[in-house]
Amino acid sequence: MTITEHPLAKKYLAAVARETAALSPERRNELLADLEEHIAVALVEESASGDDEIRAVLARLGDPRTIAATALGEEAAAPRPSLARALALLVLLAMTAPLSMLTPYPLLGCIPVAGAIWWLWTSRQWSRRDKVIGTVAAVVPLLFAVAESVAVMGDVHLGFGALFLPVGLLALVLPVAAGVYLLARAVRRPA
Amino acid sequence: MVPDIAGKPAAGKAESQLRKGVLEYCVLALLREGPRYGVELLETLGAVNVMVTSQGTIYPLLSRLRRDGLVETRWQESPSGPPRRYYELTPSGHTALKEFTAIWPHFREAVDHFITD
Repeated sequence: MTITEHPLAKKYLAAVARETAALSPERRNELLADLEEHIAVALVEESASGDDEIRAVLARLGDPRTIAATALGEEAAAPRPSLARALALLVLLAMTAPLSMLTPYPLLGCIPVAGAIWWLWTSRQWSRRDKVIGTVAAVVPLLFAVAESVAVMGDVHLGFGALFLPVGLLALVLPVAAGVYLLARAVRRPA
Repeated sequence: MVPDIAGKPAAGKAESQLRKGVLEYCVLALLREGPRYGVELLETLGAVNVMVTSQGTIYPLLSRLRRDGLVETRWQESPSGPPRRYYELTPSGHTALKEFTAIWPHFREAVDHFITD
């Protein structure tokens, strides 16, 4: 039996679960997991497992109603992710591939690429992982175009060869796909 | 029965309002030197009496800091007990902390100015 299955801990967590019924399921599960970890870690660090010690840890955690009230307050206070910002990012990302790959001047693609990267990294609404995904997707068409033109100019046979079409198509759709993904992340994340 | 320690009558409305405003910056400051996990943060915060009356309320706060992009979390195994969820400052978190650190002395002085005769 793990310590969080102890009747006292279970009863406490059930009380928190009951009091946070109005919270979004994602937020609620996170809170319950955090509290569960807290109880287990606190008891391990005190090398304690007796009823009184569990009671003491729970007492310090506080009244489930107080925790629930704080959680509900934080949920309301959190800023809504901006849909406009996500849409603008999608437009910038959608421009990167055509400007990089379908014009005679691939370096034109630098403009939306720089814009998209700046727009991404100055925002707080995406996680670092999502920002990296967006950045990579923005840069790929430009890299593809530059690699192609270097290969052509130098008359070296380092081009993509038979892979030109599949890789090129992938580079074309990748930024839009990333833009849609980042938009979905912004929409799905509740305030 | 879980005793209701949050209802300490001495912790008045002013105190709880103040705490609400500054606690997150204290948390960010505690993370300045490196990642920490929840129980660790609470031990440090608990060393100063006014900061946390009900430890569990720190978790919704940490969750919001994470959603606001001020901290990041990752799980790390521990030699004893369950894996710990570590909180770490992001660049935005560092910026927010710097901004608060710059504002706070003025704020403190202004309040002192009005409440002392």
